[in-house]
Amino acid sequence: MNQNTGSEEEKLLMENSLTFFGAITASVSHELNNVISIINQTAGLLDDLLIGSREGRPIKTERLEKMAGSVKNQTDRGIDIIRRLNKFAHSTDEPVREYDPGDMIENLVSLTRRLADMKKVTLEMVPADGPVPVVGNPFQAQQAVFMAIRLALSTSLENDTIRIEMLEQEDVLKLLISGIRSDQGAEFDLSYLKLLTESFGGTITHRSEGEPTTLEITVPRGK
Amino acid sequence: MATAKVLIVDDEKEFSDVLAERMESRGFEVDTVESGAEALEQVSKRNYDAIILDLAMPRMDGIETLRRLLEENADLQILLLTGHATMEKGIEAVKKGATDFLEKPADINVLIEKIMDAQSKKTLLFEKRMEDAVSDIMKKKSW
Repeated sequence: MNQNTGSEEEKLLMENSLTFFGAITASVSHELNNVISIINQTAGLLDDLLIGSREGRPIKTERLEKMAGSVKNQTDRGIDIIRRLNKFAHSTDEPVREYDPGDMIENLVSLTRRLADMKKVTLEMVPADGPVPVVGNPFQAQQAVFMAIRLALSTSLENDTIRIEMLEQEDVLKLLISGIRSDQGAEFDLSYLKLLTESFGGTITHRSEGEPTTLEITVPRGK
Repeated sequence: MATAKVLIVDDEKEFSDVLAERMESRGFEVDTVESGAEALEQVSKRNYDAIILDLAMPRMDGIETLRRLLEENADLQILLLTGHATMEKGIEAVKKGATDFLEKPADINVLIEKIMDAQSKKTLLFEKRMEDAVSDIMKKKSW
């Protein structure tokens, strides 16, 4: 039985929103740090080679080409990460707006992929047939999907696949997060996810027929 | 003659390869592996003066790799590379047996200094073991 008052629930939603934002930015900062580290060491190697060149050890063109290629690849990787983080950050701009959940979830999956990679789990997204415009809170919807993914990751084994599927319906968008093992002894506490989805007018259901199981989140389309 | 034998353990191969090349140009003998499991295998085949171990790796992370490496050989000198070197993480790593920790991106001169410190520590530990072994033998023979 939920004994939280309205203000306690708001506080809980706010705290968990910050935790969610922190989890995404921490993961992204780790990835960006790896990119910077590679570029940093490559710059250092270039310095080393230049010193060697002044001491009479010529630099091979192929060596420079390889290093230039590495810097370009890592820069491209960094730009992609920053672009995605920027998109995520701007999902907090307005509490209610029209957005494309497919684009949003694809971005979230990309930002979350590192967490899945750490467990050698594949994250797969099955989009809807076309854009599905929704009027609502994109940040909260992402948070709900993220928490469902994290729940799935907590039960997953190496080489598992977690699938996020979008099903368009007249008034709602259904998000199915499948690949949740309920046979791993973990207790599912969906109380916070229930609070979160209800805060934007949605629902959450644990479909436990068969194994692995599925979480179904509905997001009102708000048309 | 090589200054020291070093093993780099990091899932970012490009990072390991460039760092290895820079260290080899400074006289170090360097091997690289991409996972904790590979590190365990490599350490069973070769004796290293220092191991540079990334904290965040898939499957077996740096802390678990550290634990298992030290289980095999408590004298291993392991430097943890972390993306976020808070004092807390550093203390945690050292409590779990790491020789030291560094923040990525790592300055190569600082890294080399810590590797040389690790090598000295390893030498001292080896000498102490030899002394203890000799002392034990002498006690047994009541000399």
